[in-house]
Amino acid sequence: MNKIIRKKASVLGFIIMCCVSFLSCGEGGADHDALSSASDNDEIVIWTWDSTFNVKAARLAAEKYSRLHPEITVRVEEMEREEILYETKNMLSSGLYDRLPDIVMIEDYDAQDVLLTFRDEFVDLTDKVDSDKYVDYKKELCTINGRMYGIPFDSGTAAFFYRTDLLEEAGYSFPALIDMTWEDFEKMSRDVYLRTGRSMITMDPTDMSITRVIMQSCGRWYVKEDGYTPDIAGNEAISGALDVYHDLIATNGAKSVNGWNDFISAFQNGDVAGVITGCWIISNIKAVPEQSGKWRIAKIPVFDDIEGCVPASSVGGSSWYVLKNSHNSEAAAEFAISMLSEDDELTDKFIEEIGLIPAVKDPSVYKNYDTVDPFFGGQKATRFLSELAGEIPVVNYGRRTYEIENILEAEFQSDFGKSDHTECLRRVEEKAKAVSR
Amino acid sequence: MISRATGKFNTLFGRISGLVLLGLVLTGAAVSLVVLSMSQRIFTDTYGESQEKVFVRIENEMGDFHENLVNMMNAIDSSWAFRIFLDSEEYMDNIQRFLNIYQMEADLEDSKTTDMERLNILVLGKNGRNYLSRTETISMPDDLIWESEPVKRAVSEPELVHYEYSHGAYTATSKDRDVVIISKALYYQETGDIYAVVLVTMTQEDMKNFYDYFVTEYSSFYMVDENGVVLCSDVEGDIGKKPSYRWYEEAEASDNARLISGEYTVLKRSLTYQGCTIYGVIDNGKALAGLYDMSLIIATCAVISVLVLLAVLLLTRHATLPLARLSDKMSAVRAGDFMEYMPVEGSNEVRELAITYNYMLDDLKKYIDELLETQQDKRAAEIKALQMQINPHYIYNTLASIKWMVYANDREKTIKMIDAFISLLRNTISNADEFITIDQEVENLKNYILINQIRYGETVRVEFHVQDSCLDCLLPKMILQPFVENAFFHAFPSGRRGQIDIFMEEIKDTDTLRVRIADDGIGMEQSVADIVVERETKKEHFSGIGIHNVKDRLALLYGERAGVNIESNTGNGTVVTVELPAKRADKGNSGGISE
Repeated sequence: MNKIIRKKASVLGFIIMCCVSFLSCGEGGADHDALSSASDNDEIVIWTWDSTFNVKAARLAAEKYSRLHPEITVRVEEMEREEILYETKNMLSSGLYDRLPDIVMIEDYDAQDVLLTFRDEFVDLTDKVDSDKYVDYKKELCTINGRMYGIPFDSGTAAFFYRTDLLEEAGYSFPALIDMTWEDFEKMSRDVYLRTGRSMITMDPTDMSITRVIMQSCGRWYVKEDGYTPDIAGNEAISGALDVYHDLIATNGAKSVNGWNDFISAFQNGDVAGVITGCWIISNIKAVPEQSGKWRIAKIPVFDDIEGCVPASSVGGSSWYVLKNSHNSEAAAEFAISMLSEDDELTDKFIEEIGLIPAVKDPSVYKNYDTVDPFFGGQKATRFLSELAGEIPVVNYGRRTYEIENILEAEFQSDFGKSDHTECLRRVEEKAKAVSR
Repeated sequence: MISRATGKFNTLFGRISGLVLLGLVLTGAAVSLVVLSMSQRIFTDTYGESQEKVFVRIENEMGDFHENLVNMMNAIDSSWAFRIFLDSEEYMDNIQRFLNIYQMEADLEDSKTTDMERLNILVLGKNGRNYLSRTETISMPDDLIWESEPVKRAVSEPELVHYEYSHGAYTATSKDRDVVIISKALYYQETGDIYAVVLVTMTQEDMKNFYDYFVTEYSSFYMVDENGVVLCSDVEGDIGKKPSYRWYEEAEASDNARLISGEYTVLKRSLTYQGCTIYGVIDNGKALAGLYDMSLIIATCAVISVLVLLAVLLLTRHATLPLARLSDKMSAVRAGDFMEYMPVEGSNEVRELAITYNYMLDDLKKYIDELLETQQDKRAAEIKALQMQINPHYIYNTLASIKWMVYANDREKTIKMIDAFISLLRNTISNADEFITIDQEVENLKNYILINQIRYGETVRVEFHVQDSCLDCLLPKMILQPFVENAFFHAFPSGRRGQIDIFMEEIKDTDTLRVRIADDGIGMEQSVADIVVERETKKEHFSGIGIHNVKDRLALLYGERAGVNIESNTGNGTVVTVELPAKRADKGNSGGISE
């Protein structure tokens, strides 16, 4: 009897063992599946715009970094500037961290807004980056309460880039372009149109960047130093800028264009003789190699009746920001610091290949700083623009640059043709007050 | 082996546990199967249904988006600013242009809904003027754009909106991507001449916003145009190709909005206005696997079954063990062993059963013992009576012989005869001892033979061959006389001469006393000899003991250890062998030895 029981017990034991091993088999399989599906995300993702400039720079940095750290891949995704801002804000406000890139480029005008809204979403780089290396106005705009959250990239130094061959055709040559006032510029533009049939520059009613160039050169902005009180109604710089717009459009001194594509193709095709914008445009100018040697760079015009107006300004510069809650935030921060901030050799390469004007106080550390640029007829473009960068007045862009500018554009449309802008600016200020809060 | 196994199964325990095991396994399997298949069906249905709702949402959103797109395209078509920009050959002065451009932007912004905020809209004018909604550059020359497939299709069917897959579109950011290009030609109502084409480029990421919430690891989304090319899908490898799946072929041919194709549930909606069809494919197997851990269910069932089975086995065993034990004991009783008592334990019924059984066993044993004893006593008494009883005929005849001898005046012979007779009678009747020594037995036999020889003549001689060492061995009284008597009267009929040899020896090895009574008489058939031992003959005997009850007597005294054997052949005489245990009288005790 006992024997039989022992036998039965052993059979039962066997069954239980089978069950248990079967169970553990199943679980083991599931574990394995879970593992294999989760881990192929060792990639730093960068979002930036402009394939001739920022994208190219990011790719150079990625290439170098991958050479030094073969285990890490860096993917650069080219997107539209507004799209990057829009998507990033969207994802951050809805907490969709798994689709977030690791590094984004943000234009300086948007920086304060994004940083103030999503302060905890960006890596604090204060202790990791030598902030004193950068020019003041640039340092300020990626700093909140003394903490620095961005790595300044291009200075965005504004300048007047022109086709010397076309200007000469109209009877203008280099000495006349020194210390120009806007009045001088308007006159010259009229002459160029009359003599060559081409406008001097382009103007886009939907993107009045020259207003911003003029404001900063006068040390003014749409808002006061506090960043939110509108400073429009009594702002001589804005009123002066509107005069410039009005005059240049009315006299064909500036060609009306629509959008970025028109803006770029206008000077690339030679429809206009020049362009007033940030120095990041150099990469687009150089994209037409046939025009090499025909381009020159001059300082921007000034208003001689506005106190403190200097021929130095900034427009559309941008900086790199590392997101704190992305997949590879730490690796990305290391990449950004080592490549985009500390690596002078790489910055040198940027200067050479994409015409970067670094936003640093002492650009003389770079080998290419003093290089003669044959594209600009032997001008030392980098040195010229870098020195100019040091003179740019510091302004607080506040958080609503583009919103206020949209109001200005709309009001300017209905005001077009009138010579007195007081009423127009008063209306803009009223509306600006509403959006600044 | 087989019979042992069936025997084991045939026990109560085997049957109950076998039945329970079978029941458990069947019930478990049946319930699991039914529940699983039911839940599987319910799951497939409800999951398919819920996903269908999600899917309908995609359809609606795509429909809304399409409507918005059409509105936007109509707004471009009906915007005077766009008309001026796109159709006049040489148009207005710079100021008007400045204002017009702003108006275009404003008109477009007005017509855009929030989901079209960052849409890549390219308006390609026949007059060479282009409008691009985004801050990027057009990366393709105009003439190549006009040559591209989406534009050609829009031109060929200007009244329709076309959705087309393309690898790479017209702007810097869409250069190397898989995109969907939505195209529509703008034309003059009166002439039908085309003056511009609107091209909306959507990347796969843009499209994903429509269906992202539908896609899981076990459901995929496909948008297929009228030519069967996948415009967008979360399965990246299929984009831009014609899908070659069985579910696709089945779904394409079917009119059902939801159908099941093998492992897949396929949802299908035709987007009439877009000229596309969207498919949602759910892998039921995977979805179910995600929901039900099949191996866990089976393992849980198995473990529970085993535990229940174990419990049932133990309980049944506990309940049936006393019964099994009882049946074991009973078979022992059948074999005659009355000492196998049942331990009193287990449940009440079994306890009661055990008590009654033990009680019964006791009774039974007592009765059988008593019966045996009575019978043995009775038999012994019977035999005793028989051996005490001298056949009166023998006495008459012997006395008659003596009378004849007195008449013949043969005094010496007469005295001899009377002595022998007296001795014989004394030893038989007076001596109450059951056992006598061989010595005495030989003397008795000699006396008996003497009487017979005197009575019937000396034609038969008798010789004794007795081993000296066994003279003091004990044997039951009158055990040999019947054989000698038999030999005398049957082996030598009608005055035939002959001899009887009586051998007595002790066989040391087996401690046996062997007595052989051999005659050289007429003998008999062996079969007759066998009967002789069993049957009572009606001849005149010396005492009540005949050959037939020698055997009984020996069995009563010695059991199996004694035996009688007769060997005979017609004409060759007869040999009777009596074997019995060799026993000797104790010193000072001449009485019998009882078993």
